[in-house]
Amino acid sequence: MTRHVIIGNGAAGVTAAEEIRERDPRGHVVVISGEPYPMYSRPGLAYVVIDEVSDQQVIARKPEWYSQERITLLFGKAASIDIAARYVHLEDGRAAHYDRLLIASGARAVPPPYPGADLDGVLYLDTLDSAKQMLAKAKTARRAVVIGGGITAMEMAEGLAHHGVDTHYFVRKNTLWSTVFNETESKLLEQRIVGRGVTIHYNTEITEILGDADGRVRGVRLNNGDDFRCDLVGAAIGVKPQIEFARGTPIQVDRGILVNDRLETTVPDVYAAGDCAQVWDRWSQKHMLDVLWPTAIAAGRVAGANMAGAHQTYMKGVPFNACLLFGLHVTAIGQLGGGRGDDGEVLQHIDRGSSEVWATRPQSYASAWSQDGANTVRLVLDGDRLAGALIVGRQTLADPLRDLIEHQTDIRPLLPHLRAGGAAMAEHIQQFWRNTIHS
Amino acid sequence: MTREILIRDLSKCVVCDVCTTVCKDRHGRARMNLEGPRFGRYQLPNVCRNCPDTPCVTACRLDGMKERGGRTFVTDACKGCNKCVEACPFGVVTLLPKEHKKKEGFFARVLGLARSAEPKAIVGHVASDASRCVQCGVCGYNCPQGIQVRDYARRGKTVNDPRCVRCGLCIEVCPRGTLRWDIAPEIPSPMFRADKCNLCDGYAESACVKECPTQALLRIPADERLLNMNEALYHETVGKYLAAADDRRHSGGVK
Repeated sequence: MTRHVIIGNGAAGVTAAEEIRERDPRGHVVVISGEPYPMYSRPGLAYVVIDEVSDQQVIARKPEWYSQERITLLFGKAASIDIAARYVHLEDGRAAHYDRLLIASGARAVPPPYPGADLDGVLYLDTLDSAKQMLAKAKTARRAVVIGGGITAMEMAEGLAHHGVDTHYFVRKNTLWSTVFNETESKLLEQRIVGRGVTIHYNTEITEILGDADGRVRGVRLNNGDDFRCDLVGAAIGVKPQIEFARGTPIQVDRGILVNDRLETTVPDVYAAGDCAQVWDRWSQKHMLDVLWPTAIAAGRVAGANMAGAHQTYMKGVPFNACLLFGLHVTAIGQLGGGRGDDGEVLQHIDRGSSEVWATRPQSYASAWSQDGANTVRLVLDGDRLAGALIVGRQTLADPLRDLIEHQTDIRPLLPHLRAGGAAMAEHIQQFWRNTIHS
Repeated sequence: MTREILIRDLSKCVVCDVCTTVCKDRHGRARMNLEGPRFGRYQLPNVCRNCPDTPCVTACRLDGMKERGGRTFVTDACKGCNKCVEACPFGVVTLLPKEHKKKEGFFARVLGLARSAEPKAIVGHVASDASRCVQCGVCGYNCPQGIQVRDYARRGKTVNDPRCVRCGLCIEVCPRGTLRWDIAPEIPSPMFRADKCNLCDGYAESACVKECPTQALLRIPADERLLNMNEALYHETVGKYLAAADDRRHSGGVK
């Protein structure tokens, strides 16, 4: 009987466990969870903090599911891996023997790189506990500062404002979500954010978080030397794969764990998937991080199958995320070619719910643009193929564009309409999609 | 417009039940009954009190319950999801099976009968796209029937739970566009619809008030006129809301 051990109880880990169970009904499956909960939906945390869903409901699998599927759930943090003896050692001294190991330990928020990051009142939104902590703190807080350029930061701002906290969103650049959004898209979102009572401060950076005698946040110091009073600081400046336990082993590590197209690491019988894995990207010809839910599910499925003896290759899909920010629907697909890496973006790591691929440009770059009031569509063209799309507002084009991008459809007949742009573009894309995909 | 409430003058009422009978005649169901708390000479029948904080309107995730001019009423957007029924503190909102009245001309009806063609109501199911689902559970959290829609959505399956009333609330609330109708239902609210007193909206006068032979039923604005009639009754229907509003103003501070 093969012993499968999975480090990580998130989207990738649980999907892999499910896949293994399906292919190997008799094998042992052990899932090691670093958090004291059954598997929950991490993207759902954004909806927990705006009271769209309860902290109980966001738990996606009940404990009974594990017993039903005969999956052993072990609560504890992995501390090290003994490759030679095939053991995973936990921090509390326990150890799990494996025949096949999957590392799906995910990623966690990086703390702000300036003094004061350990003060009481510095909040993150990367675990269920952190979301609960944020809700508890929001009850008594008067004023909060949120930093970070991506989706998670805006979700935090939305949550804090929803609970009546006077929320100030500090942005380093002069547009919102600058790695992905252009100016018009940024303006559309800005209207929504301001409408919910959040104050945006552009071109503003923090140099220090100030604390009081009890070790609580009392304010922040800005790059212009001013002090800004607040009692909470929400930080979402990026995530980092949780792979400390794999360092010092023969498993090759860059920013994440490097894997080949079968999701095998450099050590036999050890696999990696999800946010902690750095997967070969066919678009940019590099190993890339995707901190995305659908990617983790797809990779978890392939890793699980391969651990159970299959020979599947993981084709890194087109990164896709549909999110709801301040009531505005935004869908990002493929490459969007924002302005990343102009000054060695130390702070702007990859964010929860985003992909590095979004911020890369294809070799030949052209774009098409259509705007109809508060609804916009932006396309990134790579020759006669679509490389990416960003849809803000009305979402009717989301599925057609995703199909066209995923299937690498030859869009030459569509090109004149794309060049023309405007509101008619949407109709032509719909028509073209119906003719090609549905014929 | 001021808020109005229905009260019964017990010194005039002979309990002839004309009020509930005419209510039933007009709306197909008696939306009121003559129980309810008494305040000396007056009584509040069990009927919508048009609460100023409108818990039914707040609970509605669609536009199915609206407030206008001090009265709340059910609109055509109601999909019978039961949220308002749960929210009503006085239990005067009810779900009714929705009748699909099909308006047909005489010839169409005769021809239809001749062909014995039953007009078919096409009812859709909730379908899902697994690649969009992040298992956040917002769908199941809002489902009036407590169906864990997420367990279908993560497998890309169609919700075939027999408890589903096809209200479409899960589709409406999903933040990621995972859910959709497999066949868009031809009749938008196929099974149920909320029903409550709306003070005979659309009619010149409330049937119960108009038809009462002893003028025992009164539609009274909830203001000083009510206070002059009966202080306890005023406090029950107006005073406590004013007190709550005062509380909100004095606590909270910054918020």
